[in-house]
Amino acid sequence: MAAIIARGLTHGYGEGPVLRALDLEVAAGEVLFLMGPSGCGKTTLLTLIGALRSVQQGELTVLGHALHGVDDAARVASRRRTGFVFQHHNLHRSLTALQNVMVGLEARGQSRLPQAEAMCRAALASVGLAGFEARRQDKLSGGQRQRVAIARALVGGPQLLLADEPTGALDSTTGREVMAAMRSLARAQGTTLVIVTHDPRLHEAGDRVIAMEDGQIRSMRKEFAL
Amino acid sequence: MIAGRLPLGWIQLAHQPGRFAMALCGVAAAVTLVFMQLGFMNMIFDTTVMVHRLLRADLVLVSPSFRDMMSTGTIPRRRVVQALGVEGVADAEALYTATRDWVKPDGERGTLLLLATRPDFAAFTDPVITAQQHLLAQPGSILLDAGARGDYRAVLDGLARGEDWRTEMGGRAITVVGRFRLGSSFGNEGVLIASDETLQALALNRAAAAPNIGLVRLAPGADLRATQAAIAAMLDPADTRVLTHAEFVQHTRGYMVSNSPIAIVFGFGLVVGLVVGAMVVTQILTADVQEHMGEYATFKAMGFSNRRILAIVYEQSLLLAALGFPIGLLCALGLYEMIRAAVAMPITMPLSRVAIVFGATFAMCALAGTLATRRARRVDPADVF
Repeated sequence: MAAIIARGLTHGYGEGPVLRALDLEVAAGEVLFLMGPSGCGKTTLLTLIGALRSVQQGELTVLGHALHGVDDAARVASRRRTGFVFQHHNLHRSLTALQNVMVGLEARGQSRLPQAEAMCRAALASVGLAGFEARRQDKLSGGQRQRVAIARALVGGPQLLLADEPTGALDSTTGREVMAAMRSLARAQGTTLVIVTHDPRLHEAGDRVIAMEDGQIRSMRKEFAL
Repeated sequence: MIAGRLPLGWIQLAHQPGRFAMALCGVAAAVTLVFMQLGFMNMIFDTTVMVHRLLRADLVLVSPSFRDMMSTGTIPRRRVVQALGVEGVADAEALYTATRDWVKPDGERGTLLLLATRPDFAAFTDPVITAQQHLLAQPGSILLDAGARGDYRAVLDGLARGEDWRTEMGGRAITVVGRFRLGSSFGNEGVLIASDETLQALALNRAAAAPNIGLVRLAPGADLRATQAAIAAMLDPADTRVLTHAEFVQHTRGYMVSNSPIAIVFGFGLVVGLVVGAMVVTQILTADVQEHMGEYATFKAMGFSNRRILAIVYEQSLLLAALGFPIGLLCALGLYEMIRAAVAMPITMPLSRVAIVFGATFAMCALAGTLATRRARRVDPADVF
């Protein structure tokens, strides 16, 4: 079953389209890397899949829900089914690590569950941050912050995780650790991963790598075949 | 977590104690200012009817030109006698009023309101006065308001030791033989009580046939409205009006509210206080929103609704109201106490005022929150990329 189906997806910001009639299908549970030069449309594609922007032209179905021709409420609902990891962790500076993860659970509408706090603690433990619950971001290293962001994105078991340069601000060792943590958690939960990255060393963690150019898919390859 | 939600508004406020304290000071200052305006305004209104409330009567006969105790006009004394003949009336007596200068213990001159009636007529609600009225039968004797503005400690101490105090009023010798406590108003520094005979001696131009007010008390079980109507039907409306005690109080209070600029002046001050408070809170909340735009965009990208983001700002504004209000209330209570001590005037804090200002504070902060959310409404979740 496909987690993402895009047909003729076209999107622009006033000066010609950034995405040009793009077709894409991502299987459920697949780990997909998107790569390409700056301005090729990969981030735009990510924001459309993540329901952060309205679809201008074409059809897009994510996790069985159409995102073309829908209102804001439908897009908010779609975002609740999706986890996000950003290049910069985007943690709330006033919140502890545990509270930041709780925000993720609240966004997903699961924070009223009796086991909510236990789920958040478990999410932190799964990225190796047991014992760091009460720390704010200024008491965490760059890698630890990104791990908290991964725990926040994956708590509550989203079916789709979108990541934009999740290791871009980290050194290569920490980047590999973060990627491994993200992948193993996604695998454990059966989550589909779409990751934008410039770092080819990380591609070994994926099932498929798509190279984009001028708003279209230039090539597609199975990473294990490389 | 509260009902499945992190108290993000509180967490953000508490994370920046300096800004939080400044916001609380802004709310507290506005609350204090509003309380002071309302306190001063009501103090003026209350002092104008303070003597009204001291008078023990079911019905009051007044001149059509009556405004307040400093401007009463006079009524024919025979109207009081006529009222006595109406069924249901148990007792009626004339009350004379006059403002008189007198020499205070420190040698300064002060203006006091002199109330005079028959010494054996219990004209006052204060039992302390009633218990001492028999002392007024001696001509030239008066009871002194211990709450009058000025330093009367020597006189009051003397009275406590059983010593009378002699002074001069209108060129005549008088003796202070007792005390009670009422307080001063803007029109006079305090009240003196004397017999009608003493007043005649002190106020040479006053005719006994023209008292200022008639005090009428009803027999037990008599119908107030029916008796009022019966007296009014018998009297000449051109020279005398019949008011219930409540109408008597409201007449003066209403006159002050509608015919003096007091309500407008203090009302304006009250609005200024609320506007300044709203501006301070808006400014601080707007700065907080601006600082957290990145976080709010992230929250929205994660699936928070616009309403949830706005709720964070409203939570902050209502927290500022809830925490700033008691601080402002305490400040106002302290200032009220200082004013009471300084000017011997009755500035009080009724619960109704506390409730009204509490509501106004929440409205002020909610308005500030609404203004501050304008920026938060524009947060675009796509900005996180």
